[in-house]
Amino acid sequence: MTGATVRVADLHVRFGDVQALAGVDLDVATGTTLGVLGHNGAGKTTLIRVLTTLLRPAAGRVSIDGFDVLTDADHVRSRIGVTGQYAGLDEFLTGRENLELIGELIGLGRAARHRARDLIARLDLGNIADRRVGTMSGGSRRRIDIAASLIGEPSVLFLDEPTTGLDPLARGVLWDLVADLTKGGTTVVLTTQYLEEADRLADDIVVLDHGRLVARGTPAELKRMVGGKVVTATVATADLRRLSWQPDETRSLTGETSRIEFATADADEAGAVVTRLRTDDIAIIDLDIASPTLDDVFAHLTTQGANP
Amino acid sequence: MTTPLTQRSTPNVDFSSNGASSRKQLGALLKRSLRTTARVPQMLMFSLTMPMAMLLLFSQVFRGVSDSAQFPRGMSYIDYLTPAMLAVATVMAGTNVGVASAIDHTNGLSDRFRTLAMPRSIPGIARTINEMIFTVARAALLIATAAVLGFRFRGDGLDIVTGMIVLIALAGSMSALFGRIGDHLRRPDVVQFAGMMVMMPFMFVSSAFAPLDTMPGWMRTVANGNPVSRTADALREAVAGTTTAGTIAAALLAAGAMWALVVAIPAGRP
Repeated sequence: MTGATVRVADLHVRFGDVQALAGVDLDVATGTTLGVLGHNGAGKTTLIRVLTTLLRPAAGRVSIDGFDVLTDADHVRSRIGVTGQYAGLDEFLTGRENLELIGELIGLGRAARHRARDLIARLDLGNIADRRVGTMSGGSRRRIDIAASLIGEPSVLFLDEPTTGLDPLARGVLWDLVADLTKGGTTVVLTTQYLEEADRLADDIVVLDHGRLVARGTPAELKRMVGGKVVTATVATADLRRLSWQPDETRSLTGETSRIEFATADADEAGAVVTRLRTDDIAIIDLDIASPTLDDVFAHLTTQGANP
Repeated sequence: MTTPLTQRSTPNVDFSSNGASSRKQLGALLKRSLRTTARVPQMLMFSLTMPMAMLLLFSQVFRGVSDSAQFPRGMSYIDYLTPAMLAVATVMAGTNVGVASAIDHTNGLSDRFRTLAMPRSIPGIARTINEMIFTVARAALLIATAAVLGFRFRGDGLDIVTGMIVLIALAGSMSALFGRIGDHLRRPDVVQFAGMMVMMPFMFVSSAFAPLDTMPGWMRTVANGNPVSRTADALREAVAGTTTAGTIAAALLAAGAMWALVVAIPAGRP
């Protein structure tokens, strides 16, 4: 670890009576990816807007590469790349023209064309780069948008819900792209609603809820905190009386069938649950073994993890 | 208690020192505005084609106005109407600036610009210069159309120059006004509608289509201060070759006052 590139201390943001961020502290080590998880309205975008100089906080200290976002905004701006929830592109220009425009605005001059061409080749955008952005699919726009945020070779890249609304294929392409960037030494701050996304990309995760950080850790640590697998079985209601132990939840489906749920510590224990159902001679009509979702993380954190 | 973090002494290169000058940024954004405007048919229609259609229609439908007692003697209706259409079309096209600014807000481009080391006013200035350029193009098209309908210019080269300066000043103040509306309302459809509501009184509570003497007293007062009236009057003098410094000054002053008033309003959310 070569020190923190992003430092946030006691950050407060208020919108009227609403406390959007209430005392957030975090550091992002150089060359790592921080995943910021949270539901809609948790404060993820507000955090990104403060970090990218778009929003003035009510209180707190925020610095990027040692430069304060309030007093040295232009130094910060020359070091960051931002991809927001809406692709920040001109729909009437082609992808290439958009990239060249941003290149010219950050002072690349004639080199803007070369940088755009390099990025188009590197991000494999050749087949879409000369189409107008307005005619592109959401996934293509996002890729051009990310290329636009990379024109200035930023040391910190902010991605605000970069895959929201993308299909699984486009999402996968984007994940590979971000993984490549961090390999090259870029520090990334990523907000997402998807645990899977944070799991895939982030070295560290923080969980925001109602403007507060309710948890932080590596993906593995967070999952351990939440617990193991949930086994959900659909069985004949008539079979239920043969069950030798009580499920965590029982729901009648059609009257003839019921759904029973067991919370288990890990995959091994989940397997034991299934074996025990067979031992009790219960016919399993349908079976689902699920890992904890972000909802589970929140359920866990808001009931037990209020004071992490 | 926002206390800035003490700046770490850093060996990092100061990127802002080799950043773009504001002049180059303005040039890049102007190129973008020109491209964009040329690629959006509805904007081009509103800016260039519709004023021509209005000139054509009005010159036929309302030419009876020239028979009224208050109408300036010895002037043909097309000579009266053409300067007015030049001024009014500038107001109409100004609404495009508001829509363009709102589009930048909805598609996130305006946020992207704000995360670059660039003065916040540059995109608005680029849109205004773009609109000024289109104002010159529109004037050429309108005058050519008017010439077919019998319009005759009786002024000299100086009248052309002062007339264009007055018209461009009006374009600047209207761009600033509608740009601010776009920055505040932020949704293209809402801005389009609000633009119409603002545009109407500028167009009609003015000396553009009817002499001020024909209006009720209160309206005459408002119309007198309307930059569109001042511009239309100055252009009519230019067309007749009777330009006076006072009329030119009044037109520039009205447009300048309008601009100053708009610029005094903050650009929007922090």
